[in-house]
Amino acid sequence: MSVNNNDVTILTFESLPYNSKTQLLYKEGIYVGKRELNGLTAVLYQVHSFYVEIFFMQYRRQVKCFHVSESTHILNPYLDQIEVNELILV
Amino acid sequence: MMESMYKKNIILYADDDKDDQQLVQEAFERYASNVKIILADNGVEALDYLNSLLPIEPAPCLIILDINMPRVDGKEALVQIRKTERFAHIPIILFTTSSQPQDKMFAAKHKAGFITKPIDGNQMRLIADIFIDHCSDEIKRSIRVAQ
Repeated sequence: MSVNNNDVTILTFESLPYNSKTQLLYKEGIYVGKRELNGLTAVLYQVHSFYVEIFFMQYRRQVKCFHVSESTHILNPYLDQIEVNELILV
Repeated sequence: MMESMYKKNIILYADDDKDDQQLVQEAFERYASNVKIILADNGVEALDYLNSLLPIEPAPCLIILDINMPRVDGKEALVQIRKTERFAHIPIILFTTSSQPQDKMFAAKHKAGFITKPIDGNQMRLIADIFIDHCSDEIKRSIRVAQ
């Protein structure tokens, strides 16, 4: 499925098939941080106006699920990894 | 032992993320008879390794630098490496978690490649060959011969 990246909203993202989601994160996602949770590795990306947390069963090999949110609360577990200078650039 | 090490192509990989270090090492496993990966946890370690090389020791055929690293990040390490005549023309790749246009431009300005870290297994399986494609033709042949 081709995606006009300028039109991607949280609803658009949720409707995409798996490969389109990972491609969009790969091309457009801005890395925020990484954490471990219940045996999974989670990586948080900012994608335009929302956030996508990708949970890996095997890091960078096997994706378990995506968690998307427009709320900045999703940043809370990653706050210690965020560099203010980089946010200003974004 | 030293002699046998010299027969391998050396790839220097600097990244503070141990998981990514492991993934890249695994990606190169099928080329293990021809490639030796030297790991550094940050830019300082990468620069220390290069600066400690004796003239008779081979320089890496490829240097892979994560951008976000403590002490000296990948971009600063790239600038420092390019200042040294011996390493000025070695292929270098900035390997990073985000595909930021300003980082791509920085890489191009300093004659380095730019690769975003894979997100899933399909992309990960290709990564070693994508790295190798940045090497000279002679090195590519010597890495890929008789796997």
